[in-house]
Amino acid sequence: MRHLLAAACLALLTVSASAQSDLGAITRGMIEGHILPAHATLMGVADQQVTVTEQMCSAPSQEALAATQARFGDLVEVWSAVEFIRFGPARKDNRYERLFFWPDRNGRGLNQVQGVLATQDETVTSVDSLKAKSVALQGLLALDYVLFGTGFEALADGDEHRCAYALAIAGAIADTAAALFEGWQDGQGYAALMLSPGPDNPVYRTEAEALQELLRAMAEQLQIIHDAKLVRVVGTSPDDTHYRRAPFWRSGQTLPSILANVEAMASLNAAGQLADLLPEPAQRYAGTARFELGQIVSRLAALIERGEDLETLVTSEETHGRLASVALPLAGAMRVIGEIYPAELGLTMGFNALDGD
Amino acid sequence: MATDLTRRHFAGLCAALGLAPLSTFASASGVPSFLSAYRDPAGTFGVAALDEAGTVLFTEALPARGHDTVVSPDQRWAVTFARRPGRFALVIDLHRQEPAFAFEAAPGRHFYGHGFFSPDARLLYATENDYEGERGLLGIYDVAGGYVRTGAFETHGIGPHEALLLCDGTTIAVANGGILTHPDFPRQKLNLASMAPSISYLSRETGDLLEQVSLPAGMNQLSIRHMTQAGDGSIWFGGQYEGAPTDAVALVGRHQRGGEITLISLPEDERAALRQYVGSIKSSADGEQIAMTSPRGGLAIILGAQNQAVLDVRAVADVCGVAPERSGFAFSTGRGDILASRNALIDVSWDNHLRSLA
Repeated sequence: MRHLLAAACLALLTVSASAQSDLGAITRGMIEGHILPAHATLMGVADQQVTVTEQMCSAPSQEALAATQARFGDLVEVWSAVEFIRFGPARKDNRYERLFFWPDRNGRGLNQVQGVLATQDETVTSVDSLKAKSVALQGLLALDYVLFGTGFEALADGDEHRCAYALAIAGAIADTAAALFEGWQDGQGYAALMLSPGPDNPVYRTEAEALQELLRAMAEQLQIIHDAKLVRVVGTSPDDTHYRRAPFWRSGQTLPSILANVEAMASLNAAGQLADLLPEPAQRYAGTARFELGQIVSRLAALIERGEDLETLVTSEETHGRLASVALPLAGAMRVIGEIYPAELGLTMGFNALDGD
Repeated sequence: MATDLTRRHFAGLCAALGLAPLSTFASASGVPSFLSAYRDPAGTFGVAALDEAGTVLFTEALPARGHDTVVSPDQRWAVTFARRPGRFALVIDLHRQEPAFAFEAAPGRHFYGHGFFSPDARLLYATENDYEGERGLLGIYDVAGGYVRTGAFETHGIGPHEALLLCDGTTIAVANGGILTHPDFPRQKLNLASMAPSISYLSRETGDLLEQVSLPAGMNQLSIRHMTQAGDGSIWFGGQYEGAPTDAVALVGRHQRGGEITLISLPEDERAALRQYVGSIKSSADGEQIAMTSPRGGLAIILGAQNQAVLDVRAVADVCGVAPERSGFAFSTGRGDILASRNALIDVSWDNHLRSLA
């Protein structure tokens, strides 16, 4: 106790007179309140995807196929809650790309998936041999094609190769999801690393660096949604749309996945307790972020509610406009999370350190 | 062997071609000694020329963030390139101290921010991205013709970043960083799982690929970005690592034509302090020392080019730019410091690269 008090006094002495935010508490809130549970959920749903796919392969039927497809919707949703984390354990062994090989410019990954289906490649039917192959063959977008792309109906009629490939992908996803979970979780894991910055920490020297990593990842995710998932897809008018550029259009999971991306940002905003932990005059910005993110969520939810496929949504005049209108609150949320938060929290990352080349 | 012969050879031949700074730096007042792109406190961008004392002689506005500035061997012209994925280049007349010309990358191309002039100053070369074709190019511009693009060499890799004309005046070395990017996806690196960085040596006359080397097995996520030539003719490079942030990897390497790349083993404290990121690397005027910076680590390290020993380690917040100068090296930071023979502080953020004039 005496040590703690001494440490607290020392901390008080070293903190400058101006009220400083508890940056570590924000990071801790985001990690413990969102990142760790979201990875646990991803791991659990990925295991369920293996089970349901196994059942489909051993007893093929329309119902079994429908159950496998439905579980895939859940899997995409829980993945989308951690999609923004492009750093840390996701960088090891190309785990990020193994789960989510997107954007797939020029359809390179798609061609590989179609190729192994066409040639009945046996090396994609076991998890181990699949994991030794291209990352594009073993992730969510590969499974999206196998379960929903041309010829998927054969899964209900006992297409053994296609089903074994689907099962191997599900197994590979479950493996990677478990590795990600462990990468964050264990005692020496990435959560511990982000929560104990210091001179001996190999990645983060200060609490500001750790929090900056999270805020930057969040802002980047919002920008990717804006630029790549929205603007590049809806174009400037209903005559100028490219729904096939969106991830998961085959399974109808494009908008649910974006919705889950945005809900993750709202969850982080809440878990980081920014409404309390920002310096006082800036606390209202947490409400601004919550409002903007809420706007996106309600607009997307209303579009999903219609039950129409993405092609219809982007090409019909009315829904095209509604979808395009999501850009405005996206830009608002991006500004708060990417610019206002770091400034108000005094995260003075260097110009070159933050954005070199 | 650090012989006087190699030193003289380097200083003499490279300097005669205007490729490496002489030991006699511009010092007359009013004559630029350094050039660097910057961002000012209002958030606008420009390029500044500074004298030896770090005093700003003049500045020119840039439409967006700049990257490196290259100087013609006759020191008449400087060209500041846009930072990736920008498309502008600004030509500055160093005698008149005013912008002379501006040009843009070709349709479907953007600059990577680095380049060099030919020894006769007639041609300018710039690293470029053919982003639909997913290939690296070295664009060739005719100076007298108003910087019209007359052609391009393939760099035989993705993401060419810094390119150098070597001291023989005829061999080009290109750092192919290996990372696929596309302007439609400004925040995304599109091929991290399959990236294949390399150094390509090209003939300046024909563009032919003379030699290409890649990194040792298992190191393909070390993006080779910045390069310099040492006095013994070898190429030194500084990389940026794209793998797991906890991997303990070497970031600096050396290559001698005809051999394999060797990675430089730094003492563990210095290796870790680079934070998987080298922002600039430069040879000293005599080719005997190599300086590298890490803005993420707030660190500059100077090594002996021959024995690879650590000669100096400096903790400098947000340091990135480095350039040879009379007394060794000058450094620039995002906080406005120019650390040279005399230090100066200016209220701008100096961008990634500092160029000194021979």
